[in-house]
Amino acid sequence: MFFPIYINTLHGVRTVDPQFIEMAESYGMGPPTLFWRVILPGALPSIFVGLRFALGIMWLTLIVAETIAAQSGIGYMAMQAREFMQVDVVVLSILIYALLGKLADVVARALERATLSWHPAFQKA
Amino acid sequence: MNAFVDSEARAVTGVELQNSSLAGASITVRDLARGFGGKPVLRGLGLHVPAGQFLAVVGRSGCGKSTLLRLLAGLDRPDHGSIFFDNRSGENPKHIARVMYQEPRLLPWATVLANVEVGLGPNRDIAGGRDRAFEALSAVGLADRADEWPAVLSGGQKQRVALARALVSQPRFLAFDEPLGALDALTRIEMQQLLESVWLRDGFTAVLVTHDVVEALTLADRVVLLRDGAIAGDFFVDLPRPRRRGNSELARLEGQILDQLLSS
Repeated sequence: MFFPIYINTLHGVRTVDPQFIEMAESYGMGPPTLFWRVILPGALPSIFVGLRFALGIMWLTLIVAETIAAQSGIGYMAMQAREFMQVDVVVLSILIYALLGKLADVVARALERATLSWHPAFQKA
Repeated sequence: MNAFVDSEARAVTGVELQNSSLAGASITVRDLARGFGGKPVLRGLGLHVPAGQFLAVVGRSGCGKSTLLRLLAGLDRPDHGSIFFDNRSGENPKHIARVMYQEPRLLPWATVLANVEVGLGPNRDIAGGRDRAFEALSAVGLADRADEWPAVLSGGQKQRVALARALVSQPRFLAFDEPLGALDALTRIEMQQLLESVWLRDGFTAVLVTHDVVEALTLADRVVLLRDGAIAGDFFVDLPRPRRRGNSELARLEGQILDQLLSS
């Protein structure tokens, strides 16, 4: 969960246009203002890429862990249902996973739209 | 574009403003040298710009004109030599100077108005800062675009926002690093008129770096020709403003400067 966000945040901070930083410094921005007004907003698109990537990994890990090693949870429920040939419960588990994954992605995208409305890719035509 | 300027400001000549008290800062440069990677770019350059003068620096690519401008604006430090503002040493150019770059350099995640507020520097949060930013934006004719993102503006409009950002703190020295280089011919002429009018209104000292000799002659009181990191020519343009394209005296000066530029 942590690693993709970290890598992408680092990438985002590194690729903030140095021309903006030079401009901001010449207008007397100190380090805190520079961070909040230039570096963080500039890195935000990359941070979101990391977040959505991390969400994918998170669900994958969770499902595998619940299926193999857990004594409770949706994965455990699915494995139990398989033992007793309850196909309807297996399908239900899969649907729950799908919904949860979709929900997380929708939330992440709503956050993106709210904070990146300045970005040409998020502007309505 | 003329609507942005009150006609009174246009009638004032540059000479009168040079005498006004706190408007422009005089700049004195002594023996300035700067090199990059062992290759000298400026070698012992000396220059005096009186307060309120509009100076244009022309030269070929790589002659050191942008380097000179960056040194004057405090964006870079000289290897040796010194720069004085108002004949005082130790003045931080960042308090006096504002720079307009070739690119507008507007923060894409801030609204047009917020971008102008950046120009207020550390004062950006004090009361009335927003009104001052709005005023500066009105002066460049973009008050109605205050709440939009920079991405939806045209190139010329972005440069006008950048100009408002530079002007909002009422700088005493404004450095232009080919700010009109990327604009189309018509927008360029409009922007030249706008630059001239704000300079006449505010009376700051202006240094314009450009490739375009005609642009230099349209705007400047004085044109300095840079070659191999030193001053190779110094021309005074003593013509009434606003200058008309096709004026015979302008054409004569243009020929003279171009000949010198190309002869090297």
